[in-house]
Amino acid sequence: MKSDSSIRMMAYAAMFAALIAAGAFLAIPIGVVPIVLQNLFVFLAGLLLGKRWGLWSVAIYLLTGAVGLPVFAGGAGGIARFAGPTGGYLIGYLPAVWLIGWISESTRKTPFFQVAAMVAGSVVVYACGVSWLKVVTHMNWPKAMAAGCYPFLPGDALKIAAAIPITKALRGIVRK
Amino acid sequence: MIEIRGLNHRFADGTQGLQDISLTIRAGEFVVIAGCNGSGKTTLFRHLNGLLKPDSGDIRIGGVSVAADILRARQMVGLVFQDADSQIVGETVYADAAFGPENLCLPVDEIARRVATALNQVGLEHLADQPPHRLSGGEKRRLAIAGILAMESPILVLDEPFSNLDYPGILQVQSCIAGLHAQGRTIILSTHDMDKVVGYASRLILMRQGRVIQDGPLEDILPKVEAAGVKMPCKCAMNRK
Amino acid sequence: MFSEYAPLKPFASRMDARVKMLCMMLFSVAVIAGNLPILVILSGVCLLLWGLIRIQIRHVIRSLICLGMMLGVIFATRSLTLSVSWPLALSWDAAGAVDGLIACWRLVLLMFFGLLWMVVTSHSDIRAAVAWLCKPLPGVPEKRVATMMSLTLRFLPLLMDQAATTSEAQQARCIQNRKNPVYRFTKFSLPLLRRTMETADHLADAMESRCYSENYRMKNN
Repeated sequence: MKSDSSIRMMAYAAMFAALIAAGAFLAIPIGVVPIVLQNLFVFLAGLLLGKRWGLWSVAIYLLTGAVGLPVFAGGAGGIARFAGPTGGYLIGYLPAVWLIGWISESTRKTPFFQVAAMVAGSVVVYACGVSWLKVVTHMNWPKAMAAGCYPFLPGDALKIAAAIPITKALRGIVRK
Repeated sequence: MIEIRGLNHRFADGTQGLQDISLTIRAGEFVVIAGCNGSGKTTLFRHLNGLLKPDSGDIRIGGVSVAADILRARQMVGLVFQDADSQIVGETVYADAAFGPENLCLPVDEIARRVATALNQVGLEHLADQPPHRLSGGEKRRLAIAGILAMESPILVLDEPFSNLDYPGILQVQSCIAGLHAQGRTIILSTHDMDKVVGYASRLILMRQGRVIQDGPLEDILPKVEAAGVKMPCKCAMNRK
Repeated sequence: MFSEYAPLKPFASRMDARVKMLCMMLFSVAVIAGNLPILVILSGVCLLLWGLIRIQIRHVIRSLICLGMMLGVIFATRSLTLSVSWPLALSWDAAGAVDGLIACWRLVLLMFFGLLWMVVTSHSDIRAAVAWLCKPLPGVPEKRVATMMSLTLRFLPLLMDQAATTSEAQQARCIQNRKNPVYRFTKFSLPLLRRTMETADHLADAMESRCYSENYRMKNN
């Protein structure tokens, strides 16, 4: 039934929007460095919900935050968050989740393509994030990359590795 | 076995969680902690294995302070949470029971032995290859217990082990806990329904607003439970009439 | 942490959320695009509104603390230059410092307007205003947007609790002994996600059994 599945997907997407919001607070300590889970949940939204509903979940998260509802970390929500140095990463999640969903939907469900999808998504996130960081802070490219990209790559690689078994285990549950 | 002295805990938002708790629990006891929601049962349990840190006071497990060796405390005190779903991590029943021993980095054959024993004790060995989310409520609760048993903790702490279970589920969990107690484990469990523990437990502690208000042998304390907002068990109420 | 709404000034609270939202958007554009005189005027407006509406000072301080790190980064990167070659040296750039100050000023103003808006508008009014704004956009079902926003808000605290319990249950089974990060990511996320999906399933069923459809009526409709 059509209406049935769209309500279900809507609920999933809203849940993922909440997960992505929660992901900004949730961190797993690796050694002494806490690694934040937000982009892992963005990857998973793309892989599990596909391009359309994945995009919905990120868009709802961003919209809810942009209009000042309390989903961003800390009290200062709203537009200030987008105008700040990290705003580019948030915006970058939009094309990234769509791309991840699109790649995983139009290829076979093998780890190779899923990794490719997530790598492509991450490239998009960093392209948006670092460019905006550079604009806001007036750093030059090498410095912007050193501050806003390289330190996070090892963590991202680990999250991509973890996303594969998670997707495999959950794919059966998502009833489209 | 467990000595709690002058334990105080205040939450980050300023509410008082626990006030001046002092208790001694001996090895082999079956202790029931009863009280309404919010009386501090869960908060107390979280102190027993170091998930929460006391603001003042001290907890010693077998003579060693919890704060001094958290890992040891966690092995000694197996804590089974109220919500079975949030503590089941494995993709199969077997893998979930193996989670704890694997984290303790035990050798493979030791893990296999412990998991087999634990599943056997809770009567889930025939479901070892099932994914946990297919289990019934009672089976999930027993799996959560098995996950703790596999750590071979001498003390089992169960937070509301009977909540949200149907009657067969309650019976399963009851007999499972009674069996573990008979094997010599120390059992501490919280509940607000005395009917489910009368006949098993030896000692009853009543809590209200973060304090211990009554503590003694089950039979002596049972007539006073309603002061703590706990319903008197049917049997006991009938005897009184 | 998740609630800001307090109708301190009845008039501002009664004002149509759509008007307030449009004002907010205008202010934001002006703050981002405006030059120095405009910023001065806007700061004046901001102080005036603050006097009229009286945000509790602790809200302001909390937001400023959250913003503080960002401001520090922006100011430092614009005003200081670290020479990469040896010997390491920090050089101070006055023009950059002025530049950085203005950028920080803009952010603080944006934060202030955001705070004012949140203090005088209830969550459901915000949602309704967003839906109203989405209406003229082709291909955007505005009611779905509003529903999903409220679901998201409702589930965020629930998820945080869930995540805390999962993490504690795993600590009780000595997860901290495991150093492999992939293992920890997987073991933490899987139960959380599985539980989340289950809740979403129940929710979808509950919505359907209460005859949810995208044609229901909403405030401002």
